Amino acid sequence: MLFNSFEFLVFLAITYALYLVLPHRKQNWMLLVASYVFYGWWDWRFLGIIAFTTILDYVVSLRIVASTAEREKRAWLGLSVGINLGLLGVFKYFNFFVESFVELANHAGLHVDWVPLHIILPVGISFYTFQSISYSIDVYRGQIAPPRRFLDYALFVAFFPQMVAGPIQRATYFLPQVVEPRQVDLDQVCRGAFLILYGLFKKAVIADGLAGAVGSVFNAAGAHSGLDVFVATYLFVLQIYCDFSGYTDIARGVAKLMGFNLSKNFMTPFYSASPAEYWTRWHISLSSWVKDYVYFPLALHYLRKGDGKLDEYKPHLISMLLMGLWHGAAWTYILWGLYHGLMLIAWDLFKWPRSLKRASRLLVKPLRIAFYFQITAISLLLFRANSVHQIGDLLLALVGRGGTRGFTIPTPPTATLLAIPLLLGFDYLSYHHSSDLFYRKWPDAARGVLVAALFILLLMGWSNAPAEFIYFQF
Amino acid sequence: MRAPVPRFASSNFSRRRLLGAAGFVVLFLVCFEAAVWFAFTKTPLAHTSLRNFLWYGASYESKLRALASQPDLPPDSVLYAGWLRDGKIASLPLQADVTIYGMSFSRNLGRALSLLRPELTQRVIGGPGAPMNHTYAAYQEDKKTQRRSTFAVVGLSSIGVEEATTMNRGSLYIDIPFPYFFPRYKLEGGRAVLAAESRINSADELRAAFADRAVWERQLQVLEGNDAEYRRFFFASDVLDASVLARFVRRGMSTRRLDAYSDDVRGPHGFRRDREAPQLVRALLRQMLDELRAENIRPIVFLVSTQGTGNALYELVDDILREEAVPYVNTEDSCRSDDARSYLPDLHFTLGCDAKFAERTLAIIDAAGAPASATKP
Repeated sequence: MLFNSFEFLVFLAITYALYLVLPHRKQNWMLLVASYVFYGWWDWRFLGIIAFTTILDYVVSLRIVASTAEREKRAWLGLSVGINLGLLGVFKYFNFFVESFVELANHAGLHVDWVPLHIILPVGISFYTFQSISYSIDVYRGQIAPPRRFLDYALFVAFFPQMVAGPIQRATYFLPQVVEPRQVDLDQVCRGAFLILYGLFKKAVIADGLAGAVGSVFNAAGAHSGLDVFVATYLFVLQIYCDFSGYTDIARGVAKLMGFNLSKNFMTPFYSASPAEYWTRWHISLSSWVKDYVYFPLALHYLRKGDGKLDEYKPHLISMLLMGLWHGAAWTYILWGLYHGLMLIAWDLFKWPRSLKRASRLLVKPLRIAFYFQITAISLLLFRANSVHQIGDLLLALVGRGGTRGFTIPTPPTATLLAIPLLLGFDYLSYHHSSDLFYRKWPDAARGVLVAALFILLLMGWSNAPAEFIYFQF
Repeated sequence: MRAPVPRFASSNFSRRRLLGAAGFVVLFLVCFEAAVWFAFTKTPLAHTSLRNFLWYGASYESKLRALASQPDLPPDSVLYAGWLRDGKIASLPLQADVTIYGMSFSRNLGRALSLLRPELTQRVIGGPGAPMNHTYAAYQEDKKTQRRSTFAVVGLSSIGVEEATTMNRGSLYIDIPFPYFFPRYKLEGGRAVLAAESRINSADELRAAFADRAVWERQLQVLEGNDAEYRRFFFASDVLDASVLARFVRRGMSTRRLDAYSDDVRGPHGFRRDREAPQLVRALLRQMLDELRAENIRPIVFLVSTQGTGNALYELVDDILREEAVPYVNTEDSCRSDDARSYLPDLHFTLGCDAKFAERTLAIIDAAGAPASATKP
């Protein structure tokens, strides 16, 4: 059930109507049932996995709290993390690792035969598994106590707006919102409605509108010109940003209608001037998860070891490789992670001259932003490519080798072309004001124009071929 | 005791501001409607491509009426194309080396054949984007004439497969008018049999129907009763045609319906043979090949994979081609459908691709023992 589908509209209308008339406890029951219906819409068999994860982590969290010995607590945590990662490993990575092993063995002259297993990847498994793991760790660290009612925990894991593609919620932030009665006010409803409208605009008008143009290079056979690759990469930057942040906006908007506040996942990421800044603006919920549960523990470990400069950078590399692997079982994602890890290290090694730092921010920062944008664009080329071989071909075409000449990318739909300036303007103002709520200070007429323009462009772009959200595959 | 929490509380957010902004939204939407109407009907913008974009979501009937009401249309206007009983088929030369059936791709193949071998005589019968049921019906009309042809090229496009259960292209594609209607066939015991015929079979009859509401309504009833994809909301004109926002909604709904239908007929692994449209295409193709052979005409199947459809069309009919031992030209073998460079911006193949298809066709003709007039000089 896609957010931009008629079924979801009906589903949301029924769920919301029930939500508004039910008391808190029953609201949570109803939301849990609705979330399971929403998830089971893809494939009812997925429900077993999420139910198992939920029960496991809830029981483990109770055992962690009940345990007095540190060793026992750690064992329970290990069980939770191990089983969660094991499930993820089986469903997402099993074929990849075995295939890679077989390839390696064959290269080494050992002839190993292997028929890949047909394992269906449950939608959103990476998102809710990470959410569940963070809960177990937070309980272990004593940062949160398990909720008294299993129902509340089950809803925390399965809450339908964010279950399949995030933002990955932390128990410390989101669980209290589930446990405590919520208040829905007009302010939240208006903000939620705007987020839904803006999210749909980004997804249906821009992301779906650009899919054809991007696919004409990345999904097509044969060589491409450097210009084709250059433009397709830039368009993919826009496409994936609008696709993923559009999903997040809709998720946040739907949650807000019910009085929930989901954490932010994007904050004008393409205005980042460095890798460190980028990861505070792009897919924030994942990068902060990795930072808290992987990077910091590793950094602490290596700091204690104190074996020199190289150790200082290992956490960067390991964290980013994990981020890459989180996205999928493919060498392209691993390369993407490695690339970002190396960028973090490179930025750390390269110190900006003090005089430049002090120089007019207006002059230098835009240049740094523009430069880092190119770095990001290349990373997304790695991310979008279908194989390592294709990465090589595309990069060679970019530098004018091995490709063809000319420009073959089809023009995106009119609505998409009209929408892009509006998106860029909105993002610029969000960056300038350091908030995406800037429009709320505008006079009524200006806000009216903004909403009307989004609405008109949404209707105009509704005819773009609808595509599944890119991040559903992760 | 804790006070009950109001579930829907009014907040410090100004209700007045909300109403004010909502009022402005409505006002701007109304202004947008008025501005579009004025700019694109009363100013030179009425003749721009942007106007077409804003009217894509108008009902199919309104587009047909607009086209039919244009005075002094050239003879090659789409209004006159593809009709089965307007006398055009009967007026074709009776003798030709090759008769080409199909759609614009087949016509382009004919042009490429003429360039490569001008002495090859041709008869071309088809309609823009015509599906297999039109092609078969056109062949039936052609059979009524006393024509002679050594070869027949049967054009079949991948995009036309899903339209095999329709009686007009507008039942699925409302953006651009293709006025001609064609018969509906249904499967009976594995054979395609004629189930319904259009009441309108020429441009003159279409104009007459537009002048008489009752005649047009009867035509809509034929579509309603037989065309599997006909939906009145998309086809027949109504008051929504006057609103640009309503037109956007209609176009969005129409394209989403089309996408859902296309995905249903052609899944990720090719055309689904348990759906009616692919079954009909297979039956019609088999029947046409048999009937051509019965007339002692050598069939050549021209398989056209439109952009992004892969080799699904060949996979749909390859067993028929093998069983019938029919020579074929598959566009996918020369110009891949996933390579944008195979196509022009209007989604037809490039001249280079057409030439490759023509070369293959000529090779088949030569191998089969071409008639004297068609042999290489």
